[in-house]
Amino acid sequence: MPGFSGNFALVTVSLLVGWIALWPCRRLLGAWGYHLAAYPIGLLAWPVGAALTEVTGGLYQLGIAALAAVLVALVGSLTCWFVASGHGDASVPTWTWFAHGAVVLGLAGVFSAAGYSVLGYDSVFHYEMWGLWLFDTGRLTLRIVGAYGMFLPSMHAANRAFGGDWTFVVYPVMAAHLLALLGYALWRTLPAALTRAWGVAIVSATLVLLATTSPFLFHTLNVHSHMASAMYFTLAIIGVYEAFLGLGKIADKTALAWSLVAGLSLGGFALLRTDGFAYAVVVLALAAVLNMVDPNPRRLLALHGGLYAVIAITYGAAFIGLGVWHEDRMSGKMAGTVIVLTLLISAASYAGPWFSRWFRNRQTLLLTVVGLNFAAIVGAYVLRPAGFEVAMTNMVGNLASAGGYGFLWYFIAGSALVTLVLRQGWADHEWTDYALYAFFQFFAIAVIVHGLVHEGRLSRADSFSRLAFHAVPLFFWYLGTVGGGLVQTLTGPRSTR
Amino acid sequence: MRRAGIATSEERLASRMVALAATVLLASLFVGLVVDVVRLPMRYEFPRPVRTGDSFAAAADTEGRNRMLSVMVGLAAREAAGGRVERLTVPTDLSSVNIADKGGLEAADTFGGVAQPALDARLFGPLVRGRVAVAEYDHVLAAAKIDALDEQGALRPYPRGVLAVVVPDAATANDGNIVLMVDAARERLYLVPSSLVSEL
Repeated sequence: MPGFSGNFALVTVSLLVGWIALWPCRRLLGAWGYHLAAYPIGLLAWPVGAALTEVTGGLYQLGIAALAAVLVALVGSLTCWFVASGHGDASVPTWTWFAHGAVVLGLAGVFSAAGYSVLGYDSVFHYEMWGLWLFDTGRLTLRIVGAYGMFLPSMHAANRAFGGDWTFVVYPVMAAHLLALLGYALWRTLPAALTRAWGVAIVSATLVLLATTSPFLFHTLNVHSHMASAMYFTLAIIGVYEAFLGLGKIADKTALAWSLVAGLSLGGFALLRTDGFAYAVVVLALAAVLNMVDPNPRRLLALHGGLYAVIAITYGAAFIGLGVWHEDRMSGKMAGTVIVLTLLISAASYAGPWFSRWFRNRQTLLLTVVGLNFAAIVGAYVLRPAGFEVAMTNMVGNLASAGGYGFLWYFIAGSALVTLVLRQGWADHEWTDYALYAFFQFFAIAVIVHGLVHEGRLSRADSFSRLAFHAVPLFFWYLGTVGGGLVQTLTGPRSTR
Repeated sequence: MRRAGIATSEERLASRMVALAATVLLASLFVGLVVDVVRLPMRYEFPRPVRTGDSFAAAADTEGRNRMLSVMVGLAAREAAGGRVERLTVPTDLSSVNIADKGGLEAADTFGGVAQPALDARLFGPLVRGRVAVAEYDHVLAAAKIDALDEQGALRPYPRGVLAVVVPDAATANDGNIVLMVDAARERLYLVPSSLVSEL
C-alpha cells in the first residue's frame, strides 16, 4: 500500500524531526511541552525543502525531502542547544516517547486506513496540485508564494516524495495535537488551588466541547490551512505564555526554550497563508506587551530569532528564485513591506520597557493597547469606508449565520461579555486579561485587513469566516481558565493539584 | 479596615455572589452550545467527509465542480506519458473537446457569478509541469481506433470520462509527448501518446 506508507511516513518523519530538533530543550519544555511541540516543529522541514529545491534547482523528491528533514532536525537541535540547552527540572521519561509515538502513529494509521477527507476547490487546485508541481519541478511559483502560502504545497510535495498521492492524514493528526496543546495549556493556567478532580473536569469539558463543534469537526479532516494555522497559532501563544508567565517566569533557560518554540511556530503560522504575517502580529504584540511588564530582551530575541529564521530561509528562497514577484493577492513588494513592518514591530518591542513607566498597572496598559487598536480601525475605516461597511456586514453575517457556525459565536460573544462585566468573580486575572487581549487583537487585525483589502462574501467558504476558527481554541483556553477561577471562588481554596 | 490584599468576609461573599452570577450565565450559554452540538447531525453545514483513500483522482472526483475535469486530464496525461509529461498538446479551442456538458456530468460551477470552463490550461497545466502546447489538429479519435486500443488493454480509465492511453512498450514508443483527443460523440477524452497519434 504505497499511499498508506506515504501519508504515514510524512507524519512519522515530521514527528522524528521535531523530536530531534527539540531534544536539547526537552527537560526545559517538560514531557508534555516537548512531545506536543515536536510534530508542529517537525513539519517545518517541508517548506524548508521547497526553499532547498528553489535554490539548488533540484526536484522535490525523496532525496531533498530527506535532506530537509535532516537539516531541520540538526540545525533545530543545534539552535536549541545554543539558545536554551540546560538541565531543566522536568523529567522526560523514556516511556513518554513510546506513549506519544504510539498515539500519533496510531492516529496516523487509523486515519490512513479509514481514508476520509473533507475537501474543496482549494484542496485540489491550491494545495495538492501545486504540491505535485513542486514534486515535479522543485520550483516555487507566483501562485504558490503569492496566493496560497508555501507551507502546504511543500508539505503535499513531501507526501509525494514519500510515495503518497493525496495528502490527508497529516491534518487530523494536527487536530489531535491542537486539542492536546489546548488541554496542556488550560491545565497550566487553571488556579493552582483547584482540586485535581475539578481540573480534570474543566479540561475535559473544554476539550470535548471544542472537539464536537461543527467547525472543529470540519477542519479536522479538511485539506486546507485552517487546522494547521489554529495549531501553530495556539502553540505560539502557549510558548509566549510559558516564556513570560508560566515556567519561564522562574527559569531563564526555560523561558528561552519556550520563546524559541513560539518563534518557530509563528514562522509556520506566517507561511501557511498569505495573510499569516498579519495575524502573526497578534503573538508579537502579546510578547511586546508582556515584555513591558516583565522586561527580558533575551526572551524576545529567541522568539524573533525563531520566527525570522523560518522566514529568512523560505521567503529568502522565494525572492532569490522569483525576484520581486507580481501576484494579485500578495506581491513580492507587499511581502517585503509586511516583513519589514513585522521587523519594525519586533524591534519596537525591545523599547517597550521604556514606555512601561507610563502605565500604572496591567489594566491601563492593556486598555491603552486596545484603544490604539480602535484608533487604527477608525483610521483604516476613514481610508476606505465603503469597503469597511461591506466587510463588516460580511464578517458579522458569517459569524452569526451564513458561516455555518451555529450557536458558537453567540456563545463566544455572550461569554466574553459576561466575563468582562463580572470579572470580580475570579481572583487571578493575569493570564485571562492577556488571553482576552490576544483574542481581541486577532479580530482587530481581521477587521483592518478585511476592511482595507478583502471584503469577503456571505458564505461558509468566506476567507474571514474560516480563519476566525484560528482564534477559537484561544477563547476556549481563556474561558476554561475563567471557569477554573469561578469554581475556585465558589468552592474556596482547598487542596492543590 | 483591612490590610491590603486581604479580603474581608463581606468581600469574599460579594465575590462569591458575582462568581455565582457569572457561572449561571455562562452555564446557560454552555447549555446552548451543548444543544447546538447535540443537534449537529441536523445542522452541520460544512462539506461532509468523503472516502478518497490515497488517490488524488478519487479526491478530485468527489468535488462537484466541472473544473475537476481538468485534474483528470492532467493526471491521465501523466499516466499516458509514464509519469513525466514533456508536452501536452491541446486544441486551440478547448470548448471543442469539453465533455463536461454531456453525460450528466454538469454541475454548478461558477465563481463570482461567472460560469467557469471545465477545461482550463491554468488548471491542468501545473499537473504537466506547465508544458502545454496549443495547436490546430484533428482531435477526434475514431470509434474503430478506440475499439482497437481497448482490445489491446491500452485504456486506463479516470473519473469523469477521461482515459489515458498507455503504450504497451513504453520504453520505446513513449517520449512523453501527449495529445488530447475526444471521441466523435464528445463523451470521452483520451490522452494519447503522440507516437500513437500518427499510427492512429
